Amino acid sequence: MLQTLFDPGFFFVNYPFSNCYALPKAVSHNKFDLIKETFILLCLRVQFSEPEETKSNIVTADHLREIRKSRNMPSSGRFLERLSNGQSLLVAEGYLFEIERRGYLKAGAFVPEVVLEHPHLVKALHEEFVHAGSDVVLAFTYYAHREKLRVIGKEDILENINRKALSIAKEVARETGTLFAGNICNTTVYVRDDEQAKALARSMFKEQVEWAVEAGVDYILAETFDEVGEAMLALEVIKQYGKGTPAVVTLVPSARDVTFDGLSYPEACLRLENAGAAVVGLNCGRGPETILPLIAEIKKVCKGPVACLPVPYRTSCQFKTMQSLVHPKTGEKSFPIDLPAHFVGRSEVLEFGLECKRLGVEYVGLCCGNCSHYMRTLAESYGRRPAASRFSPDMSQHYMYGDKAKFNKYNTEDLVAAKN
Amino acid sequence: MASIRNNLNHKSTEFRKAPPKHYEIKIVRRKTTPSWFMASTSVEMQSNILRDRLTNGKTLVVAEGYVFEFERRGYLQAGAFVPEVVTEHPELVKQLHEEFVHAGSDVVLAFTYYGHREKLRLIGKEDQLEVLNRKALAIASEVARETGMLFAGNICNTTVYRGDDPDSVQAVRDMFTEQVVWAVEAGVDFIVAETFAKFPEAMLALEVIKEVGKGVPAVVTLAASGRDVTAEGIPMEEACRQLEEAGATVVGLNCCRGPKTILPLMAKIRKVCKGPIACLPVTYRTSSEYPTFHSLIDPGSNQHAFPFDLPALCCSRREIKEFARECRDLGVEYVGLCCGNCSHYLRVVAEEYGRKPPASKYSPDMSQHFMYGDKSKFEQNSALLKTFQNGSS
Repeated sequence: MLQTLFDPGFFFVNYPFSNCYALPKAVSHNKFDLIKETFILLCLRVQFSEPEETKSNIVTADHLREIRKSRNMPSSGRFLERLSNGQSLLVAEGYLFEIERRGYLKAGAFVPEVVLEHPHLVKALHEEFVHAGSDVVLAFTYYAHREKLRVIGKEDILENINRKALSIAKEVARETGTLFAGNICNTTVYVRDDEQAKALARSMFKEQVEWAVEAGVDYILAETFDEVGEAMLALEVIKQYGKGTPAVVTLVPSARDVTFDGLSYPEACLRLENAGAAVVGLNCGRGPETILPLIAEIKKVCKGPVACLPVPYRTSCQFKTMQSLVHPKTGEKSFPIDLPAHFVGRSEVLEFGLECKRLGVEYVGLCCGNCSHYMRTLAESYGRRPAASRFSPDMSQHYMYGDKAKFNKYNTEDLVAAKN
Repeated sequence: MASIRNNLNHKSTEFRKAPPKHYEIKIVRRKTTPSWFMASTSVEMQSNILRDRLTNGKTLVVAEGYVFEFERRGYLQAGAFVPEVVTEHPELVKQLHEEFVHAGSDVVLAFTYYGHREKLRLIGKEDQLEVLNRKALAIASEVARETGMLFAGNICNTTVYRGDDPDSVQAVRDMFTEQVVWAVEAGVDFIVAETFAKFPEAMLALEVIKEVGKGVPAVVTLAASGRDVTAEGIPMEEACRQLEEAGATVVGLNCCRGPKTILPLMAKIRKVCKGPIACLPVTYRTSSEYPTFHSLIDPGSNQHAFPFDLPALCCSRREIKEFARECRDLGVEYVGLCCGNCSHYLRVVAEEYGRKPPASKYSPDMSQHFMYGDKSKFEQNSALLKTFQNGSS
């Protein structure tokens, strides 16, 4: 099947393009063949045509931007309206890891000092993620809270870093017509039965929420909570000080199937939904394979939109989270330095996206480890065609693997054989 | 040769045994070679910035991998792999140059890889050939000047070379000529001619650089396939030796092979080449069973990983560190990373080679992590860590 795809005769003589939209009946039973073929067909589809509106609730990102721009809605209205029509939201996260990878952020404390040191790089990454299909520009205030800054001895830059991050994100969101989101997260000081710790966490949430509201965010993301207690506290603070700004609240699933304070994830999400979160779900910690079973359960009990943002690493039943992954040769823990050895391939991101769509996940994205090529793949699995789709692979143009009619056998056969 | 190798492992500033002759003047940065230098017939007698930078135990760390990194960032198409991003988003190319220098690269390599006539013809943009090359060179020149790093031109495998076809050979010669001329006009310090699987093509590239390069030194690297010989059956180390003899300042290997499978070949090359040698593997986990990144099989699916699923076979940073250490011990003077490279890997290589680039300020310090860190700082979170590790208990 794959060989015939690259044969121009197959396309131009025997089969018009419209037939390519249908999933081929698999010749082999190997599901990865199927995924790869779907992937290639999707790539061809985006190369040669405009995407079809196969369902009323899947539209192009450009189209949505037009809708938004043409209406003069208040910020929170934009976000809620988006979700109420059954549309999906694609959300790129993973700023910390990506900037760390680029050498501008320190693993360990993981504090986004880059916001003040190289704001143009943060702006460029926001733009890159939008280019790759993100509907949301998430202000880079993750771990820019009081406790993390205290750890690195820079508590005095707290307000500056938050306001700067918000203004960079707002600028990109306005320029691109995407949603603008604030971001609060696990404080790392919260302790279940310690009133003083809780009060500290509350004050940390309050200051970041207030800056976000002042900046005019469309919604606030409160994420990566290990326990419901802290998540509820964050949601409470958003309700109290958020001036009506909607909240997305996501928990980080551990290797166990319960939160740190002993609730199952579906139950925890339901509680948060009932307490007023506009979207609930999971982010970080687990990879696509191990997050999906939990999401399926959450989808059964929650009535509203559900969020799913795994890390793009190959977790499994044996190693459910990125923190448990071990290096296949040394047996040592890979987190965080050797995580590159555990990346998913793009085919797996495609598979993940298709499964999320099938489950009806409305708010989907990728967390730590995310980057544009994954984001684009995810967007395409949701039927989108972001700007970066122009650069989706077209292997027919490769001088060794490509269309044999275009390239010399010297390369397409002899060299291929030599390189294997 | 033994004395060269001995010098490599310490940072002494001893000169070589003979005092420098009058025509071996050390020059830090020059744009053009003075005409009286051109009078000498031997390449070694000409001023050679590159060689100067590699004598007496000095080394160069060189970031490559621009094509793959822009593909990853969604600005370049896998398949043809043409750097259209140079004209479409020059600010992003400039940023990546700066990022790589920040991470430890001593060289700013102009982004003209696959920016040649054949590749542009393939995507229907042959008219942009000169604009793209000149723009890429201008961007790299600017960053090199601002950061004080070396500025290199880049030519590569044309994909149309056929040794038995004189028309093909002429076309390839013309392709190399135009790119070399533009590079020289832009004032490069040296030219990288790389990723050749075919030895005669590599020799032709070197010939063109000597002919029209106005004395600019050449780095010529071959791409090693799964076998240890070139497409013509010449052992890699012999091919490198011949290139060195023909006047390449630096010879070696780049691309195709990962750290594990490139090192054995480098050991052979070190034995037969007298001058500086180059090693720039791809950052993927090749092995004796799958020696190149084209051959890699994704264990999950049993399919070829190239190119979509290569992320699943990335090296860990530890493996890159081990690789860099072995290169250093072997005496590789010109080291870097090719496809799959990115800043966190490059920083590791630079640090193994004794550097402390600006990005080292951001090298990991896990003692500050709220779960893994210094327990006296983060007492309450150690229980939390257990919930993330190894399944339910």
